[in-house]
Amino acid sequence: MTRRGIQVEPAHTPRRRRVTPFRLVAACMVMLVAGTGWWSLGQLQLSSDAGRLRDLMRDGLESLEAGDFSTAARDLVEATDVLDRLGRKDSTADLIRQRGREAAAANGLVSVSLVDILSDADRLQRSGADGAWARQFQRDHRGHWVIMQSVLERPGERLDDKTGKRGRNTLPDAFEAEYPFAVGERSVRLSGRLPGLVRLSGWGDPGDEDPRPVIFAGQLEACRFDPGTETWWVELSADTAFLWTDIVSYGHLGFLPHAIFGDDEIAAVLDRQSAAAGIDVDSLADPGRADDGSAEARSKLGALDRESAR
Amino acid sequence: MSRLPRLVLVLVVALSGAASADAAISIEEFVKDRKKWPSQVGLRQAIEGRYAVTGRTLLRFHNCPLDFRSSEPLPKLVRRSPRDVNVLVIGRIRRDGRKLYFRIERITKQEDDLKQFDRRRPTGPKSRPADWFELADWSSGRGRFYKDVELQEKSTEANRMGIALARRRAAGDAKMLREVARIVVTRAIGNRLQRAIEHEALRVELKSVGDKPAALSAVRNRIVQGWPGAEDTKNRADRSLAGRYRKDPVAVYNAADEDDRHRLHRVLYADLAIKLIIAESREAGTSGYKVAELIRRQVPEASAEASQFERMALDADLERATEMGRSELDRMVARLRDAQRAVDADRAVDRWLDIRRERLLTQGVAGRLRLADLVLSLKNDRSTAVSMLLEADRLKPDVPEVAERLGQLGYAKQGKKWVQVRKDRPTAPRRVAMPTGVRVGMSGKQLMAAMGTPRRVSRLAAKRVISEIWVYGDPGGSRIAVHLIRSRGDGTAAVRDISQLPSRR
Repeated sequence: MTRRGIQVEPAHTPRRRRVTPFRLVAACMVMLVAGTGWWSLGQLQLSSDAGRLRDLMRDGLESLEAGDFSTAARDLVEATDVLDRLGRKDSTADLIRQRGREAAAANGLVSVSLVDILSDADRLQRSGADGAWARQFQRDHRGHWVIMQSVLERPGERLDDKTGKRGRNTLPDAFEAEYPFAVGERSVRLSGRLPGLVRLSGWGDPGDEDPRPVIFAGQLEACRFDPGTETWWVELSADTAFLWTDIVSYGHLGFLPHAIFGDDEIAAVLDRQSAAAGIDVDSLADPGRADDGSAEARSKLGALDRESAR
Repeated sequence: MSRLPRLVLVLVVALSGAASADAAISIEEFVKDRKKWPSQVGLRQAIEGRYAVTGRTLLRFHNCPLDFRSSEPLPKLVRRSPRDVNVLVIGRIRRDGRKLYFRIERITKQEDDLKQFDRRRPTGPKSRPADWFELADWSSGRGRFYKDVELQEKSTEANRMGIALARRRAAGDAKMLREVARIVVTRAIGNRLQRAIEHEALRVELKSVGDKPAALSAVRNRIVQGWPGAEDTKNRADRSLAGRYRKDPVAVYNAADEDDRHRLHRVLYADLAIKLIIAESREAGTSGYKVAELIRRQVPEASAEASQFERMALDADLERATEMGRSELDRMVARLRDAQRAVDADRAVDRWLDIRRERLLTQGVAGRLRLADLVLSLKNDRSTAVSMLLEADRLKPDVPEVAERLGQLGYAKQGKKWVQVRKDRPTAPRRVAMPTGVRVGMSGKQLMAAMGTPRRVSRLAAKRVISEIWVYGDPGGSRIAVHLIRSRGDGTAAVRDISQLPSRR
């Protein structure tokens, strides 16, 4: 009611503000408390994991040495995760990461030989079922590991029908390899990238008339036919391939020394690759055999304890 | 009246007379506007056209229902030819009761349409394509009205003349040429001429893009899409046609019939594809071999060009043969042999070996072993290999590898001397044929016994097995690959497949 009469109440009464300084401060405080709690929990978990690191490493390495790749992969991958969260970049951490990769690769091997895969691919391609092959490869083989010993070459100029790209692949860690088995008179080549290659002595040296083989692992990415060159290309996933370094697991995989590639040659190749991969094999004692009561073993175990305490 | 005003008056009269003649409308236009005739009664008009009949005082035009009458007898219209029937009449539309007629006040004989066409032809350097098109429209309209085929043909001729003039003026400008090609379509002169002008525009564009790969690629794609026969590898022009076309593309294309044009599209595409390959290869630093491969793949008929690039690459490789690695040398030697250049191949191998011989001779037994392997695999030179191995044996007797190699070469140690016990070694270059002694299922040991040490071994681990491939033979020649499967459990290997590998080129 006003002096002029009854005033109608406005339809839009101003609402109370949602964001007020008090609410803002309260929200910040809640977030701070929640963040601190989250961080503390993480630290607690990390501290607990760090306490288990020694066991994880020991068990993982023991399993790897025993050829139990599944357990080794589980433990070493977990150990690698802890090391990553701890931000460890020392040689021991590098070694565990490398062994973790090796165990994971050995545990996730492709189910059949490459020759069988390629035979299937070639059969389907010739029957005109390219799409069926792509789906089959995607379902059965993509992402599985191959561990291979082969002579690698710097990539030549390659014609790529899909991308239309031509010319030399100039990435220093890129490689190609002839997979020396013709599938229905079609040649087979592998391609991929190996970060350690650039540090491998003699890699790509044109003067090396007898290049040594390289032992490496990688996940299968694609297997496709290039009709222009009548070549099957097996491509390894670029960010997964790595140089193999462990002679014990190499043996467990079934790579036995023979007349052509004896123990010494294998050891020499793996040593060379360890150096290229920056792996110091003496950086960590073998936990599986460390606890034999000797002074050396005790010191190794002590080192391991110290590792876990870090 | 002084002289000047009189002159002005004469000029005005003359010009107004000319204007009246110029302002004459054709009978065709007059008929088209027949609905306006009632409103034009009494209006002075000049009409020109072909008369159909004439009487003493009556005249009728072709395709016009209106009578043209004169109050006085018409002059005799002399016809020098059946076509000579063009007249210009000046007069007014009048009413005769309810009927309309045209009262002729003046009648003049006109030159026939073909003569008019010839007189109106644009000539001289200032003539424009538009002038020709105007003439074409005139003759086309008139030809249609009188159903005069000859005049209609003249229209086509005028259009062609206009197009030719426009094309000449647009020469060297792809955009303008394409505009002319569009005019060809709107003037319905025919696809052939339009295609010829499009072709000329394309040639101009090709000249202007130079060696830019992106632009060349765009042009190539357009040719693929819009030029029939361009992608058809079987659609080949004979040498003479292709030669003439490359010399004078526009003229040869203009004159070519439809089939030949399709062949020329392929020539155009092939030349462009090769140009593009070269441009892209130059940018990417691609080798001559790859250029040759690309040419063979994309332009199979251009094998001569491909061979030329291969030859150039081989010559360049020969220059640096001594710096090559073994596998590269093998590849080059294989290429040289394929190119029937065996002498060059042998020379390259000799130079390569000479460079390494000195270094290997300083490496004692291992160096001599390596040298023996090299001369055997590269030159099949058994005598040099044997002498190297004997020398190695003298340096350090009873080294197992040396003994094994000598044994493989047919030598055996009798007492302290190596003597040749077999001469059954092949003397031809080492070529591995599909071995009869190797069979699926035989063990690795049996394979080794049958075929000896493989040149290369590749191994690959799968879930339960190790797959091994043993390769026999030289990379440059034929090679045999034997696939063995080694079970992880007992470690025994068994031959699973045998395959003949293509030589590495």
